[in-house]
Amino acid sequence: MIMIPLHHILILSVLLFTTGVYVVISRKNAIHLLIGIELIFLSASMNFIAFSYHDPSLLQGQVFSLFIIIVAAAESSLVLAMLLQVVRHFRSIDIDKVNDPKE
Amino acid sequence: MNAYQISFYVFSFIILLCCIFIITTKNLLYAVFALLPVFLSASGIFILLNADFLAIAQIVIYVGGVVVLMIFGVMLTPPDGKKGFKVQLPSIHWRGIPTYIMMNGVLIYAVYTHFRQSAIDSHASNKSMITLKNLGAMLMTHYVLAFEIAGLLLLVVFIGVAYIGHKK
Repeated sequence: MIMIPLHHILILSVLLFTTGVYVVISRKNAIHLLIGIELIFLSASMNFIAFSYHDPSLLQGQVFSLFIIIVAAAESSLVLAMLLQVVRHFRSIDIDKVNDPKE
Repeated sequence: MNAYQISFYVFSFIILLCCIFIITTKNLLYAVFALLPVFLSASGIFILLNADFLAIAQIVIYVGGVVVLMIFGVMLTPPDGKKGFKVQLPSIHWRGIPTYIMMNGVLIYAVYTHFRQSAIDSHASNKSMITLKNLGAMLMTHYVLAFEIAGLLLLVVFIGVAYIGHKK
């Protein structure tokens, strides 16, 4: 029975995670940060599905992955609505300039 | 090496290329568009991993919703109060790339040493099974509380986005 080995899926998920972390810590544009966060969510979701794949009698990993997708969608829409207000207020989308709570 | 495995590695290669493109690109809109093949290939991998419903949900929510929302976000956030939108990014610091490679190396080493012998005995059957019925039954029995909380979360986010987003 030919299958995909578990560690190959985990290595792909590691690549997605490190890309997301690198984008989050190296970029200043807030929308680019959101891309990095989505990649991290995708990596976590892929990990759950990989472990669920090697345990086919239980679908717990897939249920968790479904909740991860729901939370990611909610988070992304909320962050974009907040970014609209931030841009209206600060006239900038650079997150290094959005650090004064008094303004 | 059959078609099943070859398609997994092809999807992985597409994801890897698009990840490198997202890191190195200088155009924000290109980075958002490079997210599309990442999500589509990820949903292909989900299908290969016996997660058919999640693949469909991935396409509907991410490709149909989140990426379009991000493109709207790019267009609705002008950089300095002027009309129009700016997509040019500063070029990346190449000094960060060794950190990226080392981070990859450490995590891949950890995965390789711990999961290669696969302490989890893989007894997955290769027959494709439809997960939708089992998934729905589990959501309505064991996970019904989490399911309801997720629905409540979506309602709260819906109201919150409508409140935050409108022009005061």
